[in-house]
Amino acid sequence: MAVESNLLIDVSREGERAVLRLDGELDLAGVPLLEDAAEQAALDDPTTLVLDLRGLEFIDSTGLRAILSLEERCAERGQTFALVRGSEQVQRLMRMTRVDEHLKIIASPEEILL
Amino acid sequence: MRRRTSGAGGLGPVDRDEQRGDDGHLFADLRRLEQRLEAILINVAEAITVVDRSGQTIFANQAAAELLGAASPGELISAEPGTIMRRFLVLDEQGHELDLEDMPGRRLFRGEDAEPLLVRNIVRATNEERWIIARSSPVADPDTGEMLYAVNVFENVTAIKRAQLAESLLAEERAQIAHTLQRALLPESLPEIDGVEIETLYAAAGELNEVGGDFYDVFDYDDARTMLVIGDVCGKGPRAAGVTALARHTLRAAAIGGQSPASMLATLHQALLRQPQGADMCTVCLIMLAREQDGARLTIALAGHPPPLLIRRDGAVEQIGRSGTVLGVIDPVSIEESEIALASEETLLLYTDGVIEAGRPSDLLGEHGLLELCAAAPGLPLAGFLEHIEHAALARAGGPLRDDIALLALRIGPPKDG
Repeated sequence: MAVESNLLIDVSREGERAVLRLDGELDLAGVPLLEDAAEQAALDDPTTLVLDLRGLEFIDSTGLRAILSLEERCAERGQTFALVRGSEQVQRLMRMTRVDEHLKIIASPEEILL
Repeated sequence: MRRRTSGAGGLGPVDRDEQRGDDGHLFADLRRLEQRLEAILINVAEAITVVDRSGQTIFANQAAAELLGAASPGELISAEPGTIMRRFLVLDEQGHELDLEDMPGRRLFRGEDAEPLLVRNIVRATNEERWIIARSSPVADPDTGEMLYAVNVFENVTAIKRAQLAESLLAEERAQIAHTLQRALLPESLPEIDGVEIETLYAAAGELNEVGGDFYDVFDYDDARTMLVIGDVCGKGPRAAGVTALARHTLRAAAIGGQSPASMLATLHQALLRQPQGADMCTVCLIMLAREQDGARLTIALAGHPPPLLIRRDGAVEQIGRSGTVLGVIDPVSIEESEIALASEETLLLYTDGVIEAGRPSDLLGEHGLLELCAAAPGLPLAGFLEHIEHAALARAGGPLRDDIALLALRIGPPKDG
């Protein structure tokens, strides 16, 4: 059964960098929206995909898995993937699962990636 | 000059004043009006009858004739009152037989309310079943106000009703399968450990027909040690159920092989990676409990799972264990064991994230909320303690839970004297 999603995604392009700004909640209902937006952003062939989580209030394990899948797809395409850190709830889940050690986490979407 | 009271279709009632005028013209007028009305009603897709107080049908359209199994509207009009309806068994939605006097049209004649009525109509000759909504409205004598006729409109909703019934049967079946599957994923009974009390609680999220990915297990590791497991497979439905079964059985098999808790989790991680479709993510909290004099030694290994809680006798609460990598997606995983002593009358709580994620994002129960609830543990029996947490989570959610909740609590009884 379809559940209403409380996720808003804003896609923008800054030079070689595609930025997806997530606002609201990333859970089972929001995952398809994220996947669609990421596919759309990838069409432009950016060198880097940044997920800006500063406006993300809530994430659950389904949302976390979606982010990890996204990172995997970027790696396959030779794109760099980075996250701008989110709310305490988001960061708590990243630490608890130790996903924070695996992903590139930056302070702002403009931060230079090495 | 004659006047008509309403214009558009010419179907308005003839002005009363005219009845005192030229009767010949009036009769012709009425006749024309009747013919036009008939011409319209006869072809309406819904079955329409007009019945008088005695039950005699004085008008029926083609659809009514078809619905009532008559060759023509004329057959209905010439039939004795009641004879046509004897061809049918009429039941209400619950399957109770209805008397003809219960139909809305008859109720109107008795001055009663006549809400539209959904009836199950069975053709006695063929056993054919139809679902029909019967609606009636009264036609009164404009002078006396006395009700002359009931206009009955019958809508055949058989197709809609059948689809609804099929849908609800399917939903029921799905919920039943989900329930059975869910039960199969949880242990039927927990092992008895002398002097140790164990309680579990499982609360499914809103949608009953989806199998959740939460699981727990308790099994003997060897003669002196017991394994406590709680975990959460990402996702829902049959696929998550399959992965849940894989997780439970892999951990049990790894225990038979004598692996340590961290190594058991690493084995499960490898099993998940080897799944053909890949990317099955799973979090697990594993505790090995070794009985000691008046207490136990716990060895904890966490893989992406919220840390279990140890509640002291004075209500002080500690998170125990070190965070470890979630299983099945990031390789290699990094999992560290830690040890702690559990004294008698202290409470150990393992839980899934559905508990701390209960509520609106701005108002989650959270780890803090759970820690506060745990302070009540020492004063509560173990089962009551778990219900206390469940109630708080449900209250916080204020509706269906966002995710399933699994809880596993353990307490070692007071030391035996002598």
